[in-house]
Amino acid sequence: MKSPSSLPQQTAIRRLPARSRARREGGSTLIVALVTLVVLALIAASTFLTVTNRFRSNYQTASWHDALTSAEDGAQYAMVRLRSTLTKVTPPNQSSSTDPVSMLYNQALTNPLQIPGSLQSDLSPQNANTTSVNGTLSTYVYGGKTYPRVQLPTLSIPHTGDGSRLFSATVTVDALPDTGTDNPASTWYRIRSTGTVPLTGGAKVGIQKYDNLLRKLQFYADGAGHTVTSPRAVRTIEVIAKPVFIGNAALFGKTGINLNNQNVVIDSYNSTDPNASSNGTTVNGTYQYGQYDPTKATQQANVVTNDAPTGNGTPGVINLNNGAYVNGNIATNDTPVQGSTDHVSGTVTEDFYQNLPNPPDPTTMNLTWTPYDPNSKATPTDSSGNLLMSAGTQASPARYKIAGTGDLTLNNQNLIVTDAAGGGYVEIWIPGGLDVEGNNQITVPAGTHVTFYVDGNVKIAGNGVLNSSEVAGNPNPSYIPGDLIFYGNPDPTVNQTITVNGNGIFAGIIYAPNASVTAKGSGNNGDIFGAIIAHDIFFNGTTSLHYDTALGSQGAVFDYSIASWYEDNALTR
Amino acid sequence: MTIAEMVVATGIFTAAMAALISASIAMQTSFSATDAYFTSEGDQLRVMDYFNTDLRRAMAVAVNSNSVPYTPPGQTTPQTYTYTNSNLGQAKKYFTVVIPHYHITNPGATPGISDPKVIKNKVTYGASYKNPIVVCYYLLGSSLYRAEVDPDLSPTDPRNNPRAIADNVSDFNITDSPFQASLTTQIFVYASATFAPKFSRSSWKAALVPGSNTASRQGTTIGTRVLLRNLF
Repeated sequence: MKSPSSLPQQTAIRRLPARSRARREGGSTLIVALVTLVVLALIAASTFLTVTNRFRSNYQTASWHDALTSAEDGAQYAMVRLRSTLTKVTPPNQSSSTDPVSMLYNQALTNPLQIPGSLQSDLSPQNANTTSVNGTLSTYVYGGKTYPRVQLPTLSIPHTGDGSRLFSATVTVDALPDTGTDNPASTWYRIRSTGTVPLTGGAKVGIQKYDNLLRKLQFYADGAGHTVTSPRAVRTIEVIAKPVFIGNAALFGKTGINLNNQNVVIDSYNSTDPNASSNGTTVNGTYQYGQYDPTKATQQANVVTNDAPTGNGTPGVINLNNGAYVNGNIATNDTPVQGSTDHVSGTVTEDFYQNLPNPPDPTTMNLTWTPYDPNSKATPTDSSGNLLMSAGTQASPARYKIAGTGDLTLNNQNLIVTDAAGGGYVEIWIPGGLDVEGNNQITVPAGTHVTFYVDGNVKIAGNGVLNSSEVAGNPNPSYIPGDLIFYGNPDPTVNQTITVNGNGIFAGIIYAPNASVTAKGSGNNGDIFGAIIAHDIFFNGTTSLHYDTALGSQGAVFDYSIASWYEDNALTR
Repeated sequence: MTIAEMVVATGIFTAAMAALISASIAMQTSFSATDAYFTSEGDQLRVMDYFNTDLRRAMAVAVNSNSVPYTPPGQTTPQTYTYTNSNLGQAKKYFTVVIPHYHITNPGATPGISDPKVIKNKVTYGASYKNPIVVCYYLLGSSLYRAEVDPDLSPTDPRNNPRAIADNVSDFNITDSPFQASLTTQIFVYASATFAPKFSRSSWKAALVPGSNTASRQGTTIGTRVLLRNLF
């Protein structure tokens, strides 16, 4: 093998230009490669930039959607706070459980305005609180006047997955002025809820120009010009909550309703509408105390039941086997109506549920009750020996607790509520039973509000009448169901019965979700005016219930529903 | 270098360049389609969000019409509220809603939020609640427009002008379906919009023809089902 030094000179000369060419080709290749890389890098950068912008835009859209979810959560939070006064938690559960689901159960219906610290109480102008246990109390101006406002504690909503990890909702609740003037329970509430979601991806607006007017993302300032610390999506909704009154349906059976006769008739009228009632009276231009008139009867008497919300239902939860007449709609939870619905004027649906809190418990109200012994000679009576009971005012109702045996039995005597001033309030607590038979009756002046709390069994029979009154201009006895609320036993373990038999007449609202109500009309006059909410209901014989649709906006409240929903997003600005 | 070497080198170079150019074109097409896809997705989301926002707060809805009947609280007979402009006759489809006077817009009044008032068991906003704001969506050419007319504003106020909210829209449909809820009748509205599939070049033109029903058009149809929350 030759050493390199021994190679011919010509060979060495030829190699020099070859190396030089190789260097030049190597430089060109490098440049081409670099240019190619630059071009590819530019394409990639352009692509990534475009995709990143699109991706950011879609992420912002997702955050904007999440902001509405947060706002809805805030509104629901306020609704729960409003309802919590109606579904009061008993002290043992309140102290032992912080589970919100547990705290929503074990309920007892209570007058919202009697619960210190309730949201309704905080918002009541009459109470004029300076602090609120529900949040921060402030004021707002409506029609030139100042009203209270409660801001609930900020609701934090943790979130897992991509994007923002912590949503929040700030909520204010106002009592709507001009509502609840006559009856504080009928107050409507305005809930404004703002959902906020931090934006990921920096303070950069999306490149889709049409999005900006819709979503109004806040990068440096909010809509009022206030600086924000970090980019965020914000949406505000306004929900108006209205009260749902216990007389919202003609018949409400917690577990079922049996209308077992073709002579059972459920229909309706309106005591505040001269076109749907007769023989009312007009006071200050307002028609009221109208009486049921079969020629003006309407078809708004709804019959509803919860039946079995978690099961498959029990056949016969609403039983119309013998062709009872229902002039209204029927709704069950999930069980078909048994029997013929040929005599049902309205719709029949199977998706109904309404929570039924227990009735108020007088033993927990911390009120002063005046003992009233119907067998005592000291009890006031009129010249005919009828028992007298005088009314108080709305601010200070007359409260009587039946003393002695605790029973109120009208034996050849009537019970007459007197109310010289008119528009008074009476609350009667009967720890025992109530018996109105023979030709006896309980009379209430038109416009006087009477509330019964009855723990024992109730029987109205013979020609007994519970709630008879006189209306000016009407020579016949009048029945005004809006004047009387009848609460049953609050203890769900007690088997309470309420019966209306013979020619017995009842006018009022029975709210007894733990009681069995039976009506077996066999006379010519036995009717029920008003509404019944009970554990179970059985109608037989010739029994009629005439539902006063005016009860849907009177009396006690047992729930709140949403009357209006609005998202505050001006899409033209 | 021999001629043979040159031919071989040229051939290899040509093939390599052809592959490179083809790859570049394919990449550009793919990137463009990706871009168009994200754009279309953004368009779809935006249109549905506009529909949802207005339908959720609507007090009355008219499907396939620029006139909507609505009965203001305290009145017994419905009033008809109509949106119109000089181009509306050329529009292919409409739907119209009325929404409350939530914001105070009267000229001279202090801007703010109207206080709600309950009239005949219904919620109203503003003193002129009997003349609600009319919102109309319509398809003109391939653009979807949204017009909002606030009767409290001057007719020449630019806020009353229609605005395009999406381009390349080939069709949209609105249907309403009442259903029997417990003790009341409620209404769902189903709204859908179909976009020209820009990322599918082969059927783009065909998809722009109204009434065409190509698979690619169906692939760009998006819908929303909204419960009318203020109608019950």
